[in-house]
Parts: sequence; structure tokens; C-alpha cells
Amino acid sequence: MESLQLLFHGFTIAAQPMNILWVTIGGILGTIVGMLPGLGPATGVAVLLPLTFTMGPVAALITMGGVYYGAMYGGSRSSILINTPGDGAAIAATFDGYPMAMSGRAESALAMSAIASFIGGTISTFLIAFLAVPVSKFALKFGPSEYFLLYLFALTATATMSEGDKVKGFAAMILGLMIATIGIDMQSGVSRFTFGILELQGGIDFLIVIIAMFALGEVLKSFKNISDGKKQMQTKFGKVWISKADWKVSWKPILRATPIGFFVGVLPGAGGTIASLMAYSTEKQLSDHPEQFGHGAIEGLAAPEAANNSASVGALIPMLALGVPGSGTTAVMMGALLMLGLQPGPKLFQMQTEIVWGLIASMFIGNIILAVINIPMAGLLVRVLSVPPKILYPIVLALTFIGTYAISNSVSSFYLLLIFGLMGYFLGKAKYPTSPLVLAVIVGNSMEQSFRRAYTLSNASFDFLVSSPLCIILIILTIGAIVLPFIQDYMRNKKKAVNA
Amino acid sequence: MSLSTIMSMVVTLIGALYTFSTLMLPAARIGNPTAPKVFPLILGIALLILGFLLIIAELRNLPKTEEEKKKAKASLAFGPVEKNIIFTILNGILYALLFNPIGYIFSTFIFLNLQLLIFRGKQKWLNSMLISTIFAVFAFLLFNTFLGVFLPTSPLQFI
Amino acid sequence: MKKALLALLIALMLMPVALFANGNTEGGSSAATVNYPKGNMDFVAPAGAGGGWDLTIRTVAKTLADTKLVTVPMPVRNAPGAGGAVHLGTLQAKKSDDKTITVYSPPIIFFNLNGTSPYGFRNTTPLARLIADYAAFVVKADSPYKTINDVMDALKKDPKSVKIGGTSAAGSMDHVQFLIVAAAAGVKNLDQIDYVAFDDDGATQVMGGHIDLFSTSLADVMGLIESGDLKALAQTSDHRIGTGLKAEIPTCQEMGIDVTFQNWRGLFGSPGMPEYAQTYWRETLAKMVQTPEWKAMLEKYGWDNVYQDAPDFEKFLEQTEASYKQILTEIGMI
Repeated sequence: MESLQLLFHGFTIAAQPMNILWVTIGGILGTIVGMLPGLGPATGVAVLLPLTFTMGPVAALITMGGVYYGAMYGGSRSSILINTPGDGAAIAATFDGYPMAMSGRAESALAMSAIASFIGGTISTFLIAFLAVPVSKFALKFGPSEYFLLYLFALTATATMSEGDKVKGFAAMILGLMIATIGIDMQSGVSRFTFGILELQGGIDFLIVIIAMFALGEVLKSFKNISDGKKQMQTKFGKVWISKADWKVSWKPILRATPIGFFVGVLPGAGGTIASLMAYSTEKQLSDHPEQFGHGAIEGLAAPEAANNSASVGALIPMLALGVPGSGTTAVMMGALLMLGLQPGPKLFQMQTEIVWGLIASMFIGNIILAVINIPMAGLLVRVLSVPPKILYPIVLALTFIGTYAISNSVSSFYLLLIFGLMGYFLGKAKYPTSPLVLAVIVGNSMEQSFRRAYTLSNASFDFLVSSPLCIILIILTIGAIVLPFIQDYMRNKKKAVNA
Repeated sequence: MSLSTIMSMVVTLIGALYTFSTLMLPAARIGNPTAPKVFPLILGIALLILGFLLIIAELRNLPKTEEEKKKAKASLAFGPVEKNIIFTILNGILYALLFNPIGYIFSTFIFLNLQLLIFRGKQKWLNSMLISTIFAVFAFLLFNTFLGVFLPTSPLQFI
Repeated sequence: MKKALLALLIALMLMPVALFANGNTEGGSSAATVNYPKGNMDFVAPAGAGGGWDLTIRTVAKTLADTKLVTVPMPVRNAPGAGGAVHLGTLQAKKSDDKTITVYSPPIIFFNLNGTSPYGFRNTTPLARLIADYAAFVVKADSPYKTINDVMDALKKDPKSVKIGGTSAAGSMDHVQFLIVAAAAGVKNLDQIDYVAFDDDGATQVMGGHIDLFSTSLADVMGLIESGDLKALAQTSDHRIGTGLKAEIPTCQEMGIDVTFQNWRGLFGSPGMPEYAQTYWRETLAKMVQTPEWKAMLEKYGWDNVYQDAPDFEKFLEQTEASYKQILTEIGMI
């Protein structure tokens, strides 16, 4: 009950007109940076950093919170409209969102993404209000071995659920893991596969690979699509809203995806990407028409969108309750807190109730405001599709380059962009799924490092694989992820045979 | 031979090269000397195995009918689409070369003009130039001035 | 007709190139006037936003602006990669540039010694040493190790018995600062001690009991020490620091281990920075460290003032390098 009281107090702070104004400004800025490839909430928060010094700590944190979940809303806009995910967490939105836009259902896709994000964000804000401390304690149980198995599970689930030939899916996954091994190995200081190039020492930023495989890959594919007449501009636009039928298939996936997102989001480093992909594969496995996934199934968009927003709320827990940044963005927010003279940590959570609960309450309010401004904004954004593709794609291409530059501050990454773009194009043409590759690049390094840590910590033995009940659960899930799709395929073929 | 067949060979080749360069890695001077090689070695060997599986699958499904053979050939055809892709890559390299020396706005103007030329042909060149100018200036203002992503300027200093 | 238009188009597009090819040759040398600084400075934190380097250089920029010691804009840019080595590499292409100011600390020596980067502090222009923070060795609240001596005794018996974690790569700061202390305590077989490098969540790992001891900088874990989740066994200054709980943490020297380790941070210019720029920044920083604004910042973040002007700073860097080199040789890194 104490939480309720504190939450109510938080609302009285967050509902002050100035704070509502700040959260709106932050939300709009966040939506913009979220839409641009290569930029994310970290950039938005950094932009506002000088401004926040003039505000009180509560207003500053509320504004940064606005940027943070605004970016989550924005990230999926470009995924749906131009197949260009703004960050890892928005990848899953391309799977069904972009096919929907291609088949003239962009309005429903955008509306569904906003609605699912709103529901996911709101429910998880409720969860954070009551579960932050116990959940942060639970997250401590995740040591290197648990992380390793979690990454392994996420990877195998993505590789087996992807379309087509499973062998090709696994080959793509291994290629991604190989890309992730480039750079200095933290555990030994040995630099691997860098060919003496200094820029490669720090590893290849996964955002560059995402931009290359999705955005640049799409531009390269567009030559054929345009000449085949597959890609045309949209001239008529409907209302940005969803139909009753859309809602009927989506509400359950949204409710299932929200807790997945929340709990995975809490784990430092794992974050939104894994959460949204796990939500997607869960829905695909539960669905009675999995063959429609990847071809514009609206629940395949709703689930990852809810999970993604929910995870971004969960990621605040380690920062607020433990003073440990759970993601790049929360690291920037923590830096800002430090500059405002606040020491993030358990004490902040207990002592500075005004700040913490003001932030939580502002997340409720921010979610409502963002949902409200995102629907009309989507009505404007969808007009992007009325730009003739022959003009749109060159502009998307120019955006991919500036986005790449924003990530690395170096022109040498342009060459990486071109190399991975071509690689993605050829892999796609030979029917290799690119999402296992991209996910492998994102988690590959952490996965190997976790493995190595676990191996060292268990005195150079493999005991760590069964060292805790959590590990065993994760192993069972991984085996399930490998076996289940094969069983499903088998059952379906049998059914088909019977029907035929 | 189809693109898919070639790709399965490329994958196998990457597996072999990667495994080879893993074995060439220097030994770690901290901790277990072979530790940094274990994970890459697993990856290399796994890709080799997967590559062989892919090649076997390709050989089993070699095109038999005339139609299938045509399709396989078509996947390797070099037409206008492929030409445009090569132009796009070359344009990207030119962009990388010009980016720092002449600054963001001018290099982007050239890059976008050439890219629009590749996509639309040379008819609407005036319109293309207009689009390129607006984009370059707008992107510069948005990223450099507003979002604090510092972009290179030309030797003229102010842009 | 079409061909003529195309030619015109190409000519127009190439015009700026031609223009600047000229402009470039004119620009270079005329800058060496007294009128410095002019235009935006380029302040670089060679790591992501939110870390120690980032905080340091942003604080410097803010103080210089607040005290009006510098009136040109000093935007801070983040250029992360390989623990700062990537930025040092890009800096080499900016020889005799007078705009770039960057921050480094012990890793600039470590990554050169351990072979990560071919460049080190000699490939920069050291301007001043500013502040210092200290290493802290923390365990979880209910750890069996009550003092740093308990840890060292256990390591003397079995170097594998205590698992050390940190957030820098093996052979870099968090790893070496612990080994320096262990060596001074008389632990043998330093190369046998297991060190595990984490990305950024070492604190949760020690709280969760996955590692036994977390080697870090004091500022990073103060929040968890105050809440009682973590316990600091020792810090590496030669005196107690701060107030309250922080001041209760013993130094290694008090615990009978005669050693100190300083996580100093200083400012550096690009290699071959012009004389006028060097003079300007050395003088400005000397003034800055005297201002009450700067002193207030030191107080706020719990930093020690260890200001040294360039000549002393360079000497200090030489000496420090020699001592780091010795420990790295001892553990077999070099």
C-alpha cells in the first residue's frame, strides 16, 4: 500500500504543467531520434544534457524519460515504413510491419504499433511501481552461465523460427557470430581478426550491420522491385487505426509479450532486442497459422512492439534500484544524474522518493501523451509512402550513410556499411535469412564473453552449464526451441497429407 | 550453376578461411593461452560442416528440367539491376573519399545527385539537384546543429 | 541536347571540388596568428557518454564556460572504441591540429604497453594532469573476506581461490591495479590469479556472488556501499578520502600493504599541437584549477586535485610507464 501512496504522490509531481510540457518535448525529440537510423535515445538524451542542468533533477529525469520511450515509439516507425530499424529492438517490427506497409496496410501497422507500445509501456510501468526491488534482486541471480544460456536460447529460437531452410538459418547465425568475434578479446587482451586495422579493434558496431543489412539491403533490392513493378507509391491513405478483427487477434499476444519484455529488459545488457525477438517467436509458435508470420500478420507486429516498450521500462530498474546501467541509454541517464549531483543506487530509491516516483508517474503520463501524439503523427509519416520510390530510396541511402557516421564518427565505417550491405543482398538473394545473422552480431560478443567468464569462474570446467535451476530451465527452453519447429513442421505435413 | 550453389561454396570457403586464421591467432599471454581460440574454432568448424551440408543439398537438387535450368541461370544474370547495384557501391566509395576533404554538404550533394541519376535517369536533373540541395542542407542542420552529431565541414569553414 | 545538359550537371557538381582544391592550399598556414582560440573547440571523450572520461571532460568544459575563462563553444563529442585506443589512432591523422582536446588516464599507458595500440602518450601533446580518483576493492556485504589481508592470505595459499572481476579488459587498469596491490602484499604466482572482465555490470556480479572481489574505481560503487549491499575492503590512496562512509574505507598502506595506485586523469592535445595553442591551454588550465567553481566540482565528485603542468606531467607519465611496465612483465603480459 505504501507503493500506492508514493505513486499518488508521484502523480502530483508529474502532473505539474511544466513537467507535462517537458515530457512532451522529450517524447517528440525521442520519436525523431528514434526514427533516424543510427541514432537512438542515447543521442537524444545527450542533446538535452546541457538543457537539463538548468532544470531541477525531477524535471531533468522526466524529460530524459520522455526521450527514452519516445525513441521506442519512433524506432518502429522507420521499420514499418522503409524497413530501416532504428535500433536492435525495432528489428522484429520489420518482420511483419514492413510486409504490411508493402501491401497497403501501413496505417493499420502504424496504429497497431502505437497501441501495442502504449499497452506494453503502461502495464510495465505498473509492474515497475510494485516489483522494482524484488525484480532487481532476481536479476542478481543472473551470472555469466545464465547469461550465456539466455543468449544461446535467443539465438537458436531465432535461427529455427526463421523462414525456409533451417541449415541456411544456422549458417547465417554462425556468420553473425563470426562478425562478433572481430576486435579485442576482453578476457585475454588478444586482438582477433582485425588485420591490423585500428578501427576494428573495438569490434564492429552492430548498428552498422543492422543498417547495412536492412536499409542498404532494401535499397539494393529496390532496383529489382521497382523494375518488376512490385514497389509502387501509395496514393490513397486511410485512417490510422485498426479494425476490430485486428484487435481480436492481437490483444492476447500483446498481453503475453508485455511480461516477457519486462523481465528480459531488466537484465543488464540483454535488453529490448532479445525481448522483442522472444515475443515474436513465442507468438509464431503459439499461432495456428504460423505460415502467415513474415507476410504481414498483424499479431506478429503487435507482440514485439509491446515487448520492446515493456523492456525499455524494465531496463530502468537496474539503474533506479541498483545504480547499475542496464543499457547504453540508461548509462547516459546515469551520467546526467551524477552531473545533477545525485548518486544513483539503492539509496536513491529509498531516500529520493520524489524523484523516483515522479519519474514512474511521468511514465504513465508520457505513455498517454506519446500514444496521443503518435497516431496523428503516423498520419503524416505514412505520406512518406507517397514519395515515388525512385526518390525515396536515394534519400534512404543518404540517411544510412549519415546514420553510420553518427555511430562511429569515422568514414572508414562507410566501407563496412557497403561490405555488409552487399553481403546482406547476396545472402537474401540466395534465400538465407538475415535476422539470425543480425541478432548473432548483437549478442555474439556478450555470449562468448559470458561463456569464457563462466568457464574461468567454475575453475576451467563445464559444470557451470548445470550450476543453477535457472540454467537447467534455460537449457530445456533451448532444446525446445530446436525441436519444436521440427515437430510442428512434421505435424503440419502429416495434416496436409491427410487432407490431400 | 545457380547463385544458391555459389553461396554454399562461399560459406564453406569462409568457414575454411576463418578456421585457418583462428589457428594463426597468437597465444594469450594472460590466463589459458588457447582460451581466445576455442569459441572461434567451434564457429569455424560449425560453418564448415554447415557449408558441406548446403553443398550436398545443392548437388541433390541440381536443376533437371529446362525450366529449372533457366531459373538457375537467371539468378546469375547480369542485367541493368546488377549494373545499378555496382554503380551504387561505387558511388558509396566516392562518397567516402569525398566526405572529409570537401565536407558533408558538398559531398552529400554530389552523392545524392549521382544516386538519383542512377535511379531516375538524367531527365529530371533539375529536380534532382533541388532534392539533393534541400536534403544536404536539412540533414546538416538537423544532425550537426540540432542533434550534436558533428559533421565535417568544407575548407570554406562555415558549411 | 541531353548530352550537353549532362555535361553541365557534372560540371556543376564538380565545381565545389575544384573550388576547395584551391581553398585548401590557401587555408593551412595563415592560422598561426595570435587570435586563438577561434571557432568551436573539439572536446573529445574517447569513450561512451556517462563514463569517467566523459564526466571529466564535460566538467572541464562546463567550468571553463561558467568562469568565462574560455568564451568559444566547447562541445563535447564521444568517440568510443577499444578502451580509447581507437580515438588515439584517429588523433594521429590530426597532427598539429589546435582544436582537439581530449582526456585520458592510465589506460593510455596500458593499451600501448599491452600491444592493443601502437600509440601511447608520446603520440599526443600532454597538457596537464588534473584530477585523481582511486581504486577500490569491494566484496558483497556478507563475504567471508573481512579485510584486504584475508583476500591476500587466501591468494597466497591458492591463487585460484579468489575470483577477481573488473570492467576493463585483461591487462588493463582494473586488472593491473589489483595485481599491483597483490604483488606488494607478497602474493606470488600473479599470473595464476583468475581475472574476469565484464562489460559494465561488475557490481551486480559481485552482489550476486558470481565473483568474489570487484576491482573498480571508488566513485562507481559508492551508491552500493552506502546502501550496505557492498563493502569496500580497501582503497589505494595514501590518505583517507571524503567524508562519512567513504572516509571509513582504509587505505592499503594502513592495512600493511605499502602501495598506492592513482587513477589520474589529464588533458591531451593532438600530436604536434602548435606552440601558441599549448601555451594557451596550459595557462588557462592553470587558472581554472584555482577557481572556486572547479574546487566545488572536485568536492561534488570526490576527486582529488593533482594538478601538474605539462613538463611535470610528462615526467610523471614516464615514471608511471616504467612502473606499469614492471608489473606487466611480472604477470607475463610483456
